[in-house]
Amino acid sequence: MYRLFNFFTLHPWLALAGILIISLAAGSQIPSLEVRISAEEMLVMKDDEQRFYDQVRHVFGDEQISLLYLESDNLLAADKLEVLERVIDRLETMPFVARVESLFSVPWVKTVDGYLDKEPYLAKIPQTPAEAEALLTEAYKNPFLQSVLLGPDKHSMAVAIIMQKETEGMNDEAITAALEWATGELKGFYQTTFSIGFPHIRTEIADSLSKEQGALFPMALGALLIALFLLLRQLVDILAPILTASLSILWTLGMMAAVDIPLNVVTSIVPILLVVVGSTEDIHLLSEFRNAQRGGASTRSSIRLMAKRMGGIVLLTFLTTYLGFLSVGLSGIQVLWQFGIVASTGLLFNFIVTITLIPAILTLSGKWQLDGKGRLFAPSSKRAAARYWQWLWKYRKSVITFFVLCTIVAATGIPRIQINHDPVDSLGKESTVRKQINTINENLAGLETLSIVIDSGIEDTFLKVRYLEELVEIQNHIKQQGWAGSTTSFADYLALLNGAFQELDEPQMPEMDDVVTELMIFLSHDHVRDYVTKDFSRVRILVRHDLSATEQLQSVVEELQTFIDNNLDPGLNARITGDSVLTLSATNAMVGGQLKSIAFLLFIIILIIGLLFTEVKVGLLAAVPNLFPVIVLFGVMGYAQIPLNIGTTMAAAIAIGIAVDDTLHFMLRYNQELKNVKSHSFAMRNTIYGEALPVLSTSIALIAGFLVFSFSTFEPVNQFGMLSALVIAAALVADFVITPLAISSLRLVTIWDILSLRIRRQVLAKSILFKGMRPWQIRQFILSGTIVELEEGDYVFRIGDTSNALYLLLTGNVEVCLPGTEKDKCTSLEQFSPGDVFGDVALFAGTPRKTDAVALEPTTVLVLTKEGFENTTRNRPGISARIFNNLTTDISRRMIKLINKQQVARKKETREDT
Amino acid sequence: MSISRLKFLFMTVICHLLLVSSPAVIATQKVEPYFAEPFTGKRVKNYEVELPLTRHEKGTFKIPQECGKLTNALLSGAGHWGSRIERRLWLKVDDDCRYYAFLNQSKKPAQHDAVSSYDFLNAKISDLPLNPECDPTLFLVNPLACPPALPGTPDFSRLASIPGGFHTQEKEEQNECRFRNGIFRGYIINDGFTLRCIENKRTPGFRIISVDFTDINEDGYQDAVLRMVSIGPGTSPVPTLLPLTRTTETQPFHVPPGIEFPRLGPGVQQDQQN
Repeated sequence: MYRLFNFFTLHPWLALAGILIISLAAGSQIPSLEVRISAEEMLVMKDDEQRFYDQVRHVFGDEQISLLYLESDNLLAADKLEVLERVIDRLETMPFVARVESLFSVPWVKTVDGYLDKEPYLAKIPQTPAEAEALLTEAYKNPFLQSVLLGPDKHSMAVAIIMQKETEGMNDEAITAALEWATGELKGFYQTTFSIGFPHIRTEIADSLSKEQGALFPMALGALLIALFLLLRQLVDILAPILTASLSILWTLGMMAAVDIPLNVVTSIVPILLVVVGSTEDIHLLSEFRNAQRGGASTRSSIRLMAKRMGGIVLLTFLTTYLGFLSVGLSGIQVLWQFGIVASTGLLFNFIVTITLIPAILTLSGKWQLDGKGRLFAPSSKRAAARYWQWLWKYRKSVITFFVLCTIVAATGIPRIQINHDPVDSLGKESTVRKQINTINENLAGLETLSIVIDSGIEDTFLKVRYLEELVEIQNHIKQQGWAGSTTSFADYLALLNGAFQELDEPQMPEMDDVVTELMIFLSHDHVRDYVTKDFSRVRILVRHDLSATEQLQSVVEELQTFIDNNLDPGLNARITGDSVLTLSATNAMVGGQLKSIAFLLFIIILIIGLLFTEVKVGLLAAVPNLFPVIVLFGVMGYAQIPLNIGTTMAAAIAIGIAVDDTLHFMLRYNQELKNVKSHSFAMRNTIYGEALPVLSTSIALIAGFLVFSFSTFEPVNQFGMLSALVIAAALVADFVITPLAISSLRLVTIWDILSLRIRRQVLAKSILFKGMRPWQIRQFILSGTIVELEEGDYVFRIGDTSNALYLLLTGNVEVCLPGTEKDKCTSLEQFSPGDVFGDVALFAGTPRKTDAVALEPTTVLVLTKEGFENTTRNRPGISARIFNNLTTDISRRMIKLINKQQVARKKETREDT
Repeated sequence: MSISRLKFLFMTVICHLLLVSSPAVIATQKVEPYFAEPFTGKRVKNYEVELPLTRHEKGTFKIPQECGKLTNALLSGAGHWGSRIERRLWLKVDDDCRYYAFLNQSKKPAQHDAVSSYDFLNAKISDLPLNPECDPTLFLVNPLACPPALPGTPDFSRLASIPGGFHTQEKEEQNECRFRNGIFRGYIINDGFTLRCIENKRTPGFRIISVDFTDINEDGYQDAVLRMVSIGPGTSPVPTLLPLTRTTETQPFHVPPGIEFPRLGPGVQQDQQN
């Protein structure tokens, strides 16, 4: 990373040219970017349920239907029917319409003079209200009309407009407009009339998307600009994040167009998300740059310092956020998968643009400043950080108790979370289309459907009354349960036909197999192909309902499956499928995906931080401040009855991916500070002071950016924005409260420290302390220590200090001396070179230091505390035994050396005396 | 040869030719009954149907024009091919051909007609031979004491047996115990003095779907062939035949003697086997 930053610092114009070329290429793709909305995108990809339903649709037919809804006190008045007939004629001539079904076309199956008569219900227009009433009564007896095309109150009816499979040259907008035009004439005749179907829904969503993008994008930019201005006050620093975000959006949209990923309800939020999230790394980089600049470094030096300090961190935080975005796609739901791919790739683009453009811009314009005053870097801020840390440490127990209580309260709200995966919820509450769908759900059987497919595997099974009765039993059960608006099957058609032949008032199922066969010779299979296969081995019961709440639907489907399992003939196999079941499958996938993505992210966080700091414990502790916002998020969702939906399911994973960045920054800064100051308290104070500006500013920018989504009319997007802002706020609090407390007791050794230890491998290998130990044992042990760097003349310890550590000299030289009476005079007792151990005698004797230890040149020592030894004894007794053995040998050797020294001194004294 | 003699001879030849050709003229005046068209159930005088001839081959037949072709196909075993419904369709088409043949078996026109003026669609029950082989009173009082209905004829015994638990408070017709517009639904009670009918829309009954006239048994008297189907719950729409005749318009109807009923529908075949 450092080299990359350095390269672009040296070649800023090359960086700009490269970005320009890629941007032009991306821009050229954008005209082919599509806004495409489909119901399938809300479902699980390559799902077993989806495959089965596709088969079912292939076998029983797959028709896209729009409904023309009509409501009036006198539905069949002659003038109304005259207009309606004209409208239907007009609809039938439209190129995208395959056929139109209404009372004008649905056959009234009856016998006339003993012969079957299938003239439509409205073959003759009723002349009087009484005739109209009688006709409606008869029509309502037909299960294929009952609540499907005719409401129970007889004041509402529908006309089904069956669409052509291929509507060449006609997009949703054109179809919607054509339907509106064709049916417009009805408005003066019926109290309520509208046409509704997927083209309408898709058109409304697409329209809203376009409008929202136009409104929300500037708002997100505005929010970011304001946050950046208030916190950074640097013109370049304010514009650079906006520029990197804009370029990454351009690249992302170009990529979407190139790989044919459309803009839809979920992918449309990516540009705004990139503006919000993509700016955080820029802020951290720029903050570090300005910090160095403020310390007096030149622009080049400041960039180098920024690269050195932040390069690795930026890479790591990009990685965690990238994985956070990518993990959204784990659910397997197409739209979420697309989002995962688009958002993570967008973030990758943002990362590339950031590491290319920021050094280039800073090289060219880093010296330009607006006022040069970062408010949070004032001396008063440093004092405030110190006071804050003192307060936090003092009241840590109370604070931790408070957080635990908050977590418990939030956790108790989690079971209350509801799940909702109704695609119609994508529309706003005030949406006309949504209201129209609700009207249909209230007055007719509902737009939701599910199918029960029953398979015997044997030809002609469903020409036998015994098996047809199985269908009737299931249908009766569904009717008794009361949740379905209509159930229809092949048995209904037979009952209708049988009722007509037997001249009954109501449809009635035939009682003998021969009668079924007899009826079938008067029935073309085309009329029942939606319900039974041509070989009569498979049937489908079609259930229409208005259940959109996922939990209700889940319980209904489970109950139905239980009933079928307990009551169906063992020779038959039944499976429930349909749009509703796919929605349920998608819901389960969404919940599963949510859990998977959170678990995956936490694992990644623990893994990365564990590896980075070479200790799993550190990874686990780092996960705590990131788990807390997740629990708060789900708790709030439970208490506020915000359902888990296509939008809110993204909030946790994305927010963790973003929030962990601050934790990482915090921990790495703390690690750096620990090297500079020996006191944990000072290190933490400096960390809080150093991270306050970037963490606070990125968090505020993120919160402001996410809150922009709360202006969306799409409920899932709206809720996603609010919840993401909540998670970022909770993560901010956790980062300044939980993270400091969690890591303050840790001795952080980063992987870089370990890597740097490699150069000292020989030193370690020849040290008496590690004699006879394997390299991994040495590594394990030294991880319990802390590396301290000292300048020439720095004291490792002073006489009288409490002995709580021994020291292994890694580089440089240390002299142990006894301070004399004169100032700055010290009687040298011993000099230590790399590999030597010192300070152990006083440590194990439990006495204060009897000498001073001073660095004779720039020196690095490994500080091994008493606690570290105790931990090693407890956790790794084998290593501990070897260490103590080596220490005993070393102390003995030094004792002998001292005795020899004493003997030599005595002999010298004796010689002098003699 | 004088002109007058030639004229006489010419007239004699013409008359002879007319006399010789008269059976042919009668034979072309075929009775053309209505059929229920397969798959639609529509009332038609002829229809086209596609039927399986072998496992992979299908043939189209125009009914009734190609009934001979259909019979040949059946005789060669084609009726066993196809699905359950197609096999049943073979039977239906064969029934239609048999009915057509039944109506057109007579080569002579009827000399006397005491039936065609009768309104069969509103026939009085008392005018019909409910069971031709049994005393009408005995039949109505105890139908089980009578022999079963002839194969292919409507079984009126159902109308004579009131099931237990049936409420007789339904609308009763004491004077006009009859079909109405081709339908009778209810029960017939003979209390020894009068014929009473309990009409009820929910009970089984009969519908006359067609009345065709021909001299089936070639006895010189016009016969009426009533095609009837059972209606009401639990009935089958297979048609049955009730050929009727009488020599004077004041007589009740009876089944023309010496006729052989065509087999209609699988149920009849089953009954015959039983």
